[in-house]
Amino acid sequence: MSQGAPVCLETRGLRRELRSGERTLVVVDDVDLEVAAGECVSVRGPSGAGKSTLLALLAGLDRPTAGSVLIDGQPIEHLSEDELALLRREKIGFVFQAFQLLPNLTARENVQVPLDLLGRRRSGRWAEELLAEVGLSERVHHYPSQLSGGEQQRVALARAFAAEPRILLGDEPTGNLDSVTGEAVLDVMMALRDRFGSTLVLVTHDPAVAARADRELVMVDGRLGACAVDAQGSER
Amino acid sequence: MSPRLAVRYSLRELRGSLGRVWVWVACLSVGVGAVVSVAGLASSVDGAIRGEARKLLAADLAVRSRGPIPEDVLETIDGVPGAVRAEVREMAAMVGRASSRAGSPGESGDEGPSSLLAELKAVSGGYPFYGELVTKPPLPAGTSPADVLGDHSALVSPEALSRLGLEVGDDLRLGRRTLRIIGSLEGEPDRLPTGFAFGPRVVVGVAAQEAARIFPFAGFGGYRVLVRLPGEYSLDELELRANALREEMDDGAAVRVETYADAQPGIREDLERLSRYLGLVALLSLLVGGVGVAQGIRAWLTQRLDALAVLKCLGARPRDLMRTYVVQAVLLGLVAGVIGGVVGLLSILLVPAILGGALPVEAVSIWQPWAFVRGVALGIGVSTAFSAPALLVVLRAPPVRVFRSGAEPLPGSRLASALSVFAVGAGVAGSTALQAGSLWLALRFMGAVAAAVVALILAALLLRRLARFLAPRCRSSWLRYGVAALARPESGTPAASVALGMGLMVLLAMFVVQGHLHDELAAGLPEEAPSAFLLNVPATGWGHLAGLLERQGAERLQSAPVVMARVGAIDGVPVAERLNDRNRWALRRQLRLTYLDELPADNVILEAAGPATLPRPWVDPALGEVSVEQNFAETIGVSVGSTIDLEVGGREISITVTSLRRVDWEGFGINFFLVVEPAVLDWAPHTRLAAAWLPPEREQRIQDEIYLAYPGVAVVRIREVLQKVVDLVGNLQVGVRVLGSFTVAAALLTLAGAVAASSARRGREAALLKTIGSTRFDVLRAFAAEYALVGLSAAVVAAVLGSAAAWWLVTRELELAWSFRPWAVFGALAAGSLLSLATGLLASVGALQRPPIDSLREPR
Repeated sequence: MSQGAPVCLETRGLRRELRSGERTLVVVDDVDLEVAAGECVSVRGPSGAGKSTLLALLAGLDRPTAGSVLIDGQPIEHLSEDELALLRREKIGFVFQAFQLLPNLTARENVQVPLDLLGRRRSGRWAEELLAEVGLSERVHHYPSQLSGGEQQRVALARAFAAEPRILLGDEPTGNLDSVTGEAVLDVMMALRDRFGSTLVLVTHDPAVAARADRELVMVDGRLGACAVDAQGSER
Repeated sequence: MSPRLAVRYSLRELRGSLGRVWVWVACLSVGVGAVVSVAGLASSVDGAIRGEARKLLAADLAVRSRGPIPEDVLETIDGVPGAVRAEVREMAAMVGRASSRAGSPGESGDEGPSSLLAELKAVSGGYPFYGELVTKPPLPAGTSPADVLGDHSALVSPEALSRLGLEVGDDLRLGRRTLRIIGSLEGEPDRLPTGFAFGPRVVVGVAAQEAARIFPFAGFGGYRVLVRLPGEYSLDELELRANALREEMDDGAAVRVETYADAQPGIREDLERLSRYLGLVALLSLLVGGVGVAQGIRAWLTQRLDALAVLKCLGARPRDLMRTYVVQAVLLGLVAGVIGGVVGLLSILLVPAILGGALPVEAVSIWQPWAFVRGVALGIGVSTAFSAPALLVVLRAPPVRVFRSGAEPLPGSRLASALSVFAVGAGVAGSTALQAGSLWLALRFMGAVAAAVVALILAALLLRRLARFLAPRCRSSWLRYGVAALARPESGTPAASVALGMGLMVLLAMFVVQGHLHDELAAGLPEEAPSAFLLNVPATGWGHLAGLLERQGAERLQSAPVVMARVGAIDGVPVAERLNDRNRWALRRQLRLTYLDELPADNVILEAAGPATLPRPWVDPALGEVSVEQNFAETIGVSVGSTIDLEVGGREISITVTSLRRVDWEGFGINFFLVVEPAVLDWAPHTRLAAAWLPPEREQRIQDEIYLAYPGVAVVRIREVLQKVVDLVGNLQVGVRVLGSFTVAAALLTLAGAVAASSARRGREAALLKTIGSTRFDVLRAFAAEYALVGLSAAVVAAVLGSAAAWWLVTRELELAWSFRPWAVFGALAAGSLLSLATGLLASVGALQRPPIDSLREPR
């Protein structure tokens, strides 16, 4: 945790159960987490460990079975769908493995969405500036289907940072990209994070991506723990 | 989200889905087009009538009566300073070739008929005060037709000229007069071609008509006095003057005062009633289109769940998204409304051609802003209201789908569900009320639609169950797949089946009703019906005429004296004090009554004052008796024992009701509302009405014979008249059938939309089937089985409901005998299956043609 910075994102005894037929699965199990403002935390773990569910709970996209999530000290589990939407609009940005661009909108229009929702003026110009910053000034009016995977993820990054969110949640942001492209996208993401000072929570199973965080955490079977690395570089 | 932003985002949404948007727009446009064409046509004709009101009346003010206009009325009119009057008399009359060309009837075969029944119009004074008689050659400028015609000339319509083989300059016989044809009559200002005419028109001067001794016969014409008022009269003053006239005239006088400002109230009322009924048939296609849009939007939103989740992730509130999609529904309705409106208005230009002369081209104008606005408003209303339940998907889309595609939908809000149902109900109720113009009609229509929809939904659910049961039992794999597809929850075809069923139901019901009407009118003449009625037979000439008819082969003859009379009082109370809306038509006109010793065979006594020896109904030699037809008795408010004071031939007599009768009017026999005891009336001036049963192939020849001997007797041939009624009803039915097919078209578009909406899924299915070894033909057969079954099931329900609706209309509204029409039902079944099959396969072409790998690679 960054020394002296206030806690921006916190969970207390967070638990999420899902029903699968007759069985109840504990996907997130008693997670306590504190992330300081401006800190970058990575969460690594195998498939099905509960990483994405944790991210969904942090963003208020999913409701916890028990425990709570606090953003800037405020618990969010009692907020209505509308209040959660407003919270995300103002404070949270997302980057997804599958990019999740809106196929009907051009690159510029995708970046404009969070700005429009905030009622910002001149959203188009700001979107173009951001697209130029991620190296896509020539692709402003292209639709997602006309862009490569790396380009789509850069548009997604521009959209995620457009509203200058306090918190950015990344779900395997390089998972669908080859290693060279993934590295380049990660560079862009880190540069934007430095510029806007956002708090970053990255979920990944790529050790190289995880290693770029200030703090690395590991999630196994829904439980979160610190990652220790021995002298040979293998994890324990 | 601001409204502007909502519009921007909904436009962006639409931009990405133009492929399917056109289907929704088409679904709605068809219905809007139907609504606008009906409203536009009605308002167009109404506008033409209002615009030409003065010409259509040919006067500022007119007084109408079935009998000669009473002198006191004429005096009242003449008392208006500056008023000028003219007279018009209309009647059924025989006209024919003058003897120089006609020869004897025996020789007339080569030259065609030498006589025909015409609608004779006799004019006097300055008629027409407004507009003009269009003739070829034109009448001399500055002269009135009556002056030019005098007592020696006639204007004859081209139809009469051609049927009689005459030309301008030839002679025409009217009664015992020979008139010179001075022109062919091409148009009259005061005649609407939409109405019923029993023969072609001939115009003469009143002098010629009187000289020919031919007079209006009640029910076949009447008298009109036209009045032109001095120029300084304003509309208000005109209305005041008309009201004053109405008051000055004895309320019991059988006359009606009408001003040009009333603009043909009777015709316009009929027009409005007709346009309401047709408007509701048109609305049905719009509602079916609404079902198509609702289903299309639901399918579309179901595929947009990922995008909705992303938007919610980015901070869009459910209400922001809702607003976007509501705006989208409004935009769809607007676009469909404008397209449908324009097409609807343009389509009314085709109506005069379709109706073949029943509607003049000049009466049609496509500038009908209110019809257009109504169509657009209905388009938007139906699109928005019907989309409401589908939009619940937006509220329930789980944002966590961005991480977990199988995420459960968010819990639904009962309030939102209730509101969406309310929106649909309000949409249907609002649009129906707007179209029906009357609450009672709107409620009946909605009740019928609701019953049909419930039946169709139940049938669709039953079909799904049946499919679930039958699918595993099908031997052939393609049939099994096709049947199983019907049972799939998200197949979307049940709604299409409801829509298609609705369309087929309307069409089938209309077809069957029309069949019954046609058969009844054309072929269904009762065996015992006479072939002709003879009007205005001179009282003294009947014996001779009957002999002539018998010699010419008449199989049977029937005749009765006809006396014109007016009811002065009932039970001692003057008619003027008894008038109400129900009895006005009967009490304020000249009545035609008869005196007979014995009742005709098709009369049944229901109630009598004492024991009668039928067929003589008379019970009390001391009384002047009358037997009254039961419905008429109810209308004028008399029962056995009532007294009726009559004015006959300038005398007043009092008679007592001693029996009530039921009459079989459908038998076409000679019957009267009032049959009076002979001793009471046999002194009265009268003519005779006769019915003759003639060999069909000799009808024209016998008519010519009668004409030669009795030119004043009008021969009304039932078959000809019925054919004209059939033609008139046929025109209405064309309209209803065209509108009914709009409903089927909207339903087929709904099906196409449902299939197109599931195109991606179908593509994947086709790909999977091909991957595991099915040929393209196998896949085609499986899809074909599904679509044909959807159409067949819809058609089965439509056949049942449509036949039920037709049965109700035929037996209850038209009061005709019902006969089952198997061919109509088979036709509906075949049409339903084939149209559904063709539409479904056409909409699946894309899915069938895609290489399997494309579909399998596509993210789900």
